[in-house]
Amino acid sequence: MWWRWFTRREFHLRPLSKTSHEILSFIFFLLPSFVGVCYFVLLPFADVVRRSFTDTMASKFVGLRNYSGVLRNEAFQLAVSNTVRFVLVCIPLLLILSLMLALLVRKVTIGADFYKTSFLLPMVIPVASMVLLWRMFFAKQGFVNSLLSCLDIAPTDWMNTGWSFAVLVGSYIWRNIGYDMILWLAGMSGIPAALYEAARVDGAGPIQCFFFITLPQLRSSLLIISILSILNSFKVFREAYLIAGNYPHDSIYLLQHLFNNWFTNLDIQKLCAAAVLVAAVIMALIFVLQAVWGQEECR
Amino acid sequence: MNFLLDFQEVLEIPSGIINLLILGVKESMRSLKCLSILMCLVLLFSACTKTKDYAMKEKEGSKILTGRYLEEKIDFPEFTNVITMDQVADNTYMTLGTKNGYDPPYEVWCSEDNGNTWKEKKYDSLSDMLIISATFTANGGLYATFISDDSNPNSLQYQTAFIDEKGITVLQGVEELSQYNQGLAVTKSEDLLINQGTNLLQCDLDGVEAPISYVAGSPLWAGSYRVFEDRLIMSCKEEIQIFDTNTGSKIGGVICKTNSNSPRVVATQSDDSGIFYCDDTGLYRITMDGVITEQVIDGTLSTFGMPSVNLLGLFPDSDNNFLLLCKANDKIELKSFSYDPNALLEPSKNLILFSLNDDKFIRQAIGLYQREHPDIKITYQVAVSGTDAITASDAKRQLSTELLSGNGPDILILDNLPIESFIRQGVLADLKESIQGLDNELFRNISEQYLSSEGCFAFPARMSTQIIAGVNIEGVHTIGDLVNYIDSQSDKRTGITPKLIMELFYPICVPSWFNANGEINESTMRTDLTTLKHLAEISSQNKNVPYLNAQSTRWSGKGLSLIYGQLDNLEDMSYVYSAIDKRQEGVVKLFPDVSGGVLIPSSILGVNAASKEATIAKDFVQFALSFEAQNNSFETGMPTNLNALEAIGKSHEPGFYFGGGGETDKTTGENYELGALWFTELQLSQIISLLESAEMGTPISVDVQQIIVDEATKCFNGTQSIDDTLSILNQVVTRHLQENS
Repeated sequence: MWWRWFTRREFHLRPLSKTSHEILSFIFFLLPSFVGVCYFVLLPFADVVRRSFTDTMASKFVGLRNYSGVLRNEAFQLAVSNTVRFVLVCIPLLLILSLMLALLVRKVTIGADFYKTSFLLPMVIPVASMVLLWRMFFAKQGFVNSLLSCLDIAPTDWMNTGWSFAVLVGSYIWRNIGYDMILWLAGMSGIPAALYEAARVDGAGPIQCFFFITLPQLRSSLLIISILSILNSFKVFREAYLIAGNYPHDSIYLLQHLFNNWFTNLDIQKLCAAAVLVAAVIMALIFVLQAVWGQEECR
Repeated sequence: MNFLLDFQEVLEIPSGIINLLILGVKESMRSLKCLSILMCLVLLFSACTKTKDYAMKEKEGSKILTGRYLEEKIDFPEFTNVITMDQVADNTYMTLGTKNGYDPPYEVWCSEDNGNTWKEKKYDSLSDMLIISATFTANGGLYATFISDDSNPNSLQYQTAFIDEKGITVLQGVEELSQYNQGLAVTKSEDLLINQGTNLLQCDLDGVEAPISYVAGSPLWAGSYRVFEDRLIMSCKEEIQIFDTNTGSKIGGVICKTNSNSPRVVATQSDDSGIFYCDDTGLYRITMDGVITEQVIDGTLSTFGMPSVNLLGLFPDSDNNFLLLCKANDKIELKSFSYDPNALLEPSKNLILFSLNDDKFIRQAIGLYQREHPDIKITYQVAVSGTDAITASDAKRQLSTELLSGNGPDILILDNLPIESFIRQGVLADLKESIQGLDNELFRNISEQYLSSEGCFAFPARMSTQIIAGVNIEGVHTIGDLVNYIDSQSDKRTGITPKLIMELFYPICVPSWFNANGEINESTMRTDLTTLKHLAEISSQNKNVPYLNAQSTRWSGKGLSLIYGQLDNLEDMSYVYSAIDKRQEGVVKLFPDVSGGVLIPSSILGVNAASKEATIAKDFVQFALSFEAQNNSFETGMPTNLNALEAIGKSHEPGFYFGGGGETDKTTGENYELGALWFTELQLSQIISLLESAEMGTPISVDVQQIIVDEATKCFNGTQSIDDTLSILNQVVTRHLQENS
């Protein structure tokens, strides 16, 4: 056994130099989390990559057949386009709205904590309760339609028409705006007050201060907030799934719906190939964001 | 440093690593960093070590646990009903029963060798009596309550008498109590215990003492109370109560902890040290003080757990072996359970059978199979039991995970699972050899559909179909014809309600709603939805009468326009034919009869291709489709084994009074009555030829099916237009097809 080696008489630890000590400390501190990440993330992902080149029961190597199948799959194309559309609509909207909210909250002097907490409340509401609320609001005989009928406007089937996309976007923004606002506020608190004072002495107004001091100083925050928002946008599937089930309206048919259905139907090879493609795109996106905003920050 | 050595023992860390750790710690004990490193290492090692696993120890050790009760069927008089069976002395049992349904003549049989052989005892006075309840005394006498005057059916006269080989002595003073008599027992002091439904009344036959009442508060039958010496043991809800029959006072009680809804049968241990009780989970022994409860026989491995079995009586002997009296498939059976110290405590081979929902037929098949193979245990895993929060969707995902990891169940019941997808992905093993072994027994039209050149990966063990019966229905072939027929009737009363429409018509509509490539046939679907919507409108005033027996009863009294519903068991046909006979008009046929009707598969069996016990699993599938397992009637479907279906059809003589009763229409107050007589052989052959001409329905994705049912129901309720419904369904089906392309 390998550990017998350590028990041998001739084995003695030599005194370690300071640098070696530090390296050893780093290793020991990193090891538990590294093992965790390997065991729970990297190894499963490696298995996903392996399975993306095999058949369902991982018994036969099929080359790139799964990838070509996935790329040609119309359901995948629809899910990707919906997901991309959702990210492209939601992320800028969320970043702008949460930034505006952060600026407003920052200006509030009385009860600022109350506002911060209020905007964070949607995050702590369980998804199941929130879905019930959405159903009450957006069912065909729900609250919104009864309100519209009072105004002599024809009712709409919100979840079975193109409006479902708007409902989902609204749901996502409502849930995440508080969280992003807190992140923006954290970023703003790191901007030295002296910069604003100096600018004001030089005659800069609030708009100039915002564009020439606040925004440039928030670049590093922007990177983190964007990445977190993109990742959070994938979690919106829970709401979509609980409201509209496995097969929602075409406009809110997201990648996770497809993955979920593939998994239930044991189409694991397609699921793995698609997961690898999506992971690759997200990683590429993060690298691009990091390269663009990170470099600018360095300058 | 001793604590590290303690850690080593607890966590089973190799000693070399501990030595290294001690060395390292001694080198730099003063440093705070070292403590952190230590903690990291402990966490790391704790993650890498294994806990003491009982199963592993058992496996590693050479000791194999043995000792188990083995079951054996005993030759018993071929009774169809038993009035009583009592242990009158050591190893001596007496029983009173009939071979003619519930009717006379009654026979007394006796066994003096612990139930192994039985011989008849002639009691001349029993010849024409219609006995309600009875019990034997220790000297072989019989107390019996019988109908003494049946001239007026509305006020039958009952009497209780003492009967022996010499003659009959009618007991005076208990006539009134005899009216409410559902069972009898005798105490040690020869007092009579009369079961009055939910309480026992102890009567002194000399008339000296006042009756004593023992209240159970729950229904009592012969098996739920037992007299032992001067004690009465009585099962009441969750408790077994013990009474002193001399004083009538309660002297003890024990709580039964099993979670079963089946009736409980009680017995006392011969040395009076404990109580035995059994239900569908097994046989248990509980000490008189209620402190210790042990499972003596596992219900899942024996007759106790079989859905077709009703437990009637339990008789332990001095060696703590048991006789179990039970009723299965309208026949009385006596089983012996004897302890074999050499039998393995747990069967050596374990298989898991997965099913989304509980299935009585499968439970029965498992019980029978395990009885034939004592070395095999099949654990029945019901995913959606209703006792927890697990949904069908959760269960399916869990199953997918298990199958993909290679640790899936060995046998799958594929009802409501994506069969097509499982076959496509190679999850299911080929059952061709198992099915071909039974080819002559199975319905040819079913086996032809499931057996293909590529193999047979799933096979239904049960099936249902839809029937229509009525007058002038010869021209009713399609849903459109059916709705026109109902529309043409003056009262338009059927057992169909808008809520039932999709449930009833989905299986027969779906084959025509989809093209060969899986796409929706929009025009057919539109036509059918329009027709069904119209049916929903004209059925909106109907009351829910979903069962064929209730529909037949009403139709026989002209309370319904027609009989329409799902035929899940052959017994229902006796009602339909009896209704036709009563009205002297009408015919029955499968619906729709355009292509010979549609069979709806259920209990669909499949074997996991990755199962380590695939041979046994396939053997079980073959057994489940065999005559032996299929020759049982359940309301969940008819056998796909033709021989078994024929045997069930011939299980009673034609004209045998099978059942019947009355139905009251709460709206109109009308009463309908029908006595169901068992069908003739000609009618049986008609049913079989109808089933042979039908086709198995095409399975489609269960998720899509649920959406279709939900959306169509919205359409029938009027909350959604047909156009919107079609648009949604088209979208869903298209998406489903795209996903699987």
